[in-house]
Amino acid sequence: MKNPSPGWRFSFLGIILSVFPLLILARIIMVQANPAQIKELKAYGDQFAWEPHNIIPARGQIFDRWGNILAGNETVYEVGITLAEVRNPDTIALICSVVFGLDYDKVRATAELEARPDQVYRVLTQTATQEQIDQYEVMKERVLQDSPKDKDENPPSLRGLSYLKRLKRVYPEKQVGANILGFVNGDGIGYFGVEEYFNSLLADKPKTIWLPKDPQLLEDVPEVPNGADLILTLDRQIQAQMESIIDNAIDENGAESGTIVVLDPETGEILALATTPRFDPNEFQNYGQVFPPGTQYNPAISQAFEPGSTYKIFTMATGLDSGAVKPETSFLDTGAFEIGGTTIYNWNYGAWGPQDMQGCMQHSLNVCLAWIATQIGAGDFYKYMDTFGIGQLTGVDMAGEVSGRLKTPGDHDWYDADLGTNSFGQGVAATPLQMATAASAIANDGIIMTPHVVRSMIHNGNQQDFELRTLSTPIKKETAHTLTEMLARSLETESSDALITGYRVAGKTGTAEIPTPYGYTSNLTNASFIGWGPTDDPQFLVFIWLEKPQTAIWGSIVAAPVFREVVEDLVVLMDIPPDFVRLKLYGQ
Amino acid sequence: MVRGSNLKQAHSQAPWRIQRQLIGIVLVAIIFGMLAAYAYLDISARSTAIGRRILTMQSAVEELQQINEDLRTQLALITASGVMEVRAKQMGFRTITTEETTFILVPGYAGRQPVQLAPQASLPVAQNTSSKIPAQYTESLLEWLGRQARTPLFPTLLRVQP
Repeated sequence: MKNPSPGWRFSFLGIILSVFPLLILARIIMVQANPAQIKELKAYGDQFAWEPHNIIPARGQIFDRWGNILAGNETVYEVGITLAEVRNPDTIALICSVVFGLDYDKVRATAELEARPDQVYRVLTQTATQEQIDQYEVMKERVLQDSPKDKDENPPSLRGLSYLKRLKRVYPEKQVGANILGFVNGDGIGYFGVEEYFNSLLADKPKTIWLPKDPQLLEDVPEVPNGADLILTLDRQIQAQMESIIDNAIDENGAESGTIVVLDPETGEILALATTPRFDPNEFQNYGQVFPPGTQYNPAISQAFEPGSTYKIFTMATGLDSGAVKPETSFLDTGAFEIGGTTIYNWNYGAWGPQDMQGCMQHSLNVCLAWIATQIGAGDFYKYMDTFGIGQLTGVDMAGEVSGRLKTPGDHDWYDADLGTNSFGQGVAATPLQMATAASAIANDGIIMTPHVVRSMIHNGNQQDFELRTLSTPIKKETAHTLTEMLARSLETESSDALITGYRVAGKTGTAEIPTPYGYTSNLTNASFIGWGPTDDPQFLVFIWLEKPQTAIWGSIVAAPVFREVVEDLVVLMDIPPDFVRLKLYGQ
Repeated sequence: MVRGSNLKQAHSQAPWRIQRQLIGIVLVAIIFGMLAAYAYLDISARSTAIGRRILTMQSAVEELQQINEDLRTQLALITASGVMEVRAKQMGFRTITTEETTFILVPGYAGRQPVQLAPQASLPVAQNTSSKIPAQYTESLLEWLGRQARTPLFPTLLRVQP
């Protein structure tokens, strides 16, 4: 019997096996040749082919002049809830209260919120630590393991709860220098001081880039540079010491507030700037409690006040420089001087008889200074005040500076009498930094350097020092030396409480009545002192302001001793030898 | 015609010779194909693995930068002026007064200078703006072959004018 040929079976199998690849090939061609389908599939594929990568550049650090960190960053975590993904609000609330110390009811209420287009994600905390996150991960594992395997209606679940790494601003020195630094809020925005003034330099904007998941499509992760670092002119030790001194002075004198400005008159560098109130910028959320409405964050640049007698140094400088008076010019003080229909009296309403210009400064005679102003003339007087920078911004590199006010001829509210009152610091408003800056002309051969708190910037790995800038030159070098000598002798003759053993300093006290809406009717004063030294080579200039002291109203009683205390610390912290040692060493 | 009749004769005498030739040709083609596939897969696998390593290393760099930032801040916290003052007092130190200080003149010493944390900006600093990833890790096999073809076998000698 002939065996049936198996050939047809093989042929059939061959046809079947050929048809399938042909169908697949046809389908491939159909798909790949159809533009609409290509577009659709590509878009679908792209959804899964790329993932976002957030790059948050670190905010630049801030150092003091010796390289100590005043503002740095540390890693914290933001914990939040994606509302649409929440399965069990109770589990989330329980874990958050146990691990992050959050309020159970508040978290539960947040987790139960309905997800809407305008309500997708809610932040629970922005300051979770690494330890808390580690603890959370352990708890999460436990929740997953302990979940019942059978179908529970609402099994424990942490779905919807997530955390995100971020950097938080940290101020290691806490309150020290807080008024200069300002602070950064939870959203990374700088407020006040250096943090606000240099916000765009310190903080580069966060960037989101899309990276392919396909490792063969490897792409460069662009380098997003960190914010620039800043090196300040501040010395943290001097700053801390000045803050301690002003706090003690306020306590001892019952003053409402106080300010100490210390700057190098030769460069305009601010070495310390201590003010009250202060707070720890790490706890910026307390801002409203520490600084109620009307309270300035940094009164040294933001609060103008009538300086009183410390202002007389500018009038005398103008008189000497313009040639209106000389140190030996004599003046007969009768105790009263009339100008523009207003009679000017001395601080004790007394007549001091014949005086030379040093006597006028030594006894702080309003009558004499008003007379000098008339000798100068309103035109020159206000021109000089303009070059001293009174009524103008100093241009200091901190946010929140105000210009104060100096009425000048031509202003609707300026009267002839203002020339007299302005001459001894009444009817004029200046900030403590303005006063210190203007006085630096007398301490620095007649030249005012722009006050500044930032010395250098580090960006792209390079340190760039900011150039020192001359603000103005209101008086001649000789005038500056003459006035310094007059002021130094005045202190020595008066045996002032401002004198320091071993160091010759020049300075002037100030006691200013505080104007009210009804005139100078208050018994309260602003007590101040401005001084510099050593007189032959000034290395520091100090301005002290105590607002409304209670123990005494006079600057010579409450502010001068503070100046001495400040200088006693400064000479140690700045390594300034006593005058006789310095002159002996330099003479070698 | 003579050649055609020779082939027919050869086929009729030993048909396996033709089959062997055909099989040989097919096998050679398959072997070359496999070699090409092997080379392609090998290079792809290696570039993929290195690509992954680069990504991992980039993450590690970011992580380390953040750790450094944290450590710097931690260091600043434990050396803050207030903390140091407390420690100094605990160790029996106190602030010196001017009377207790002895000053000496050190020729050439200009006193303590403010900190220099980075090179001055006036110094030229090389900035590499090009990609850090070599072309070998991003190009296809064909691109690599094309680049190799364009590379001269021997470097060109430049004549330098004396």
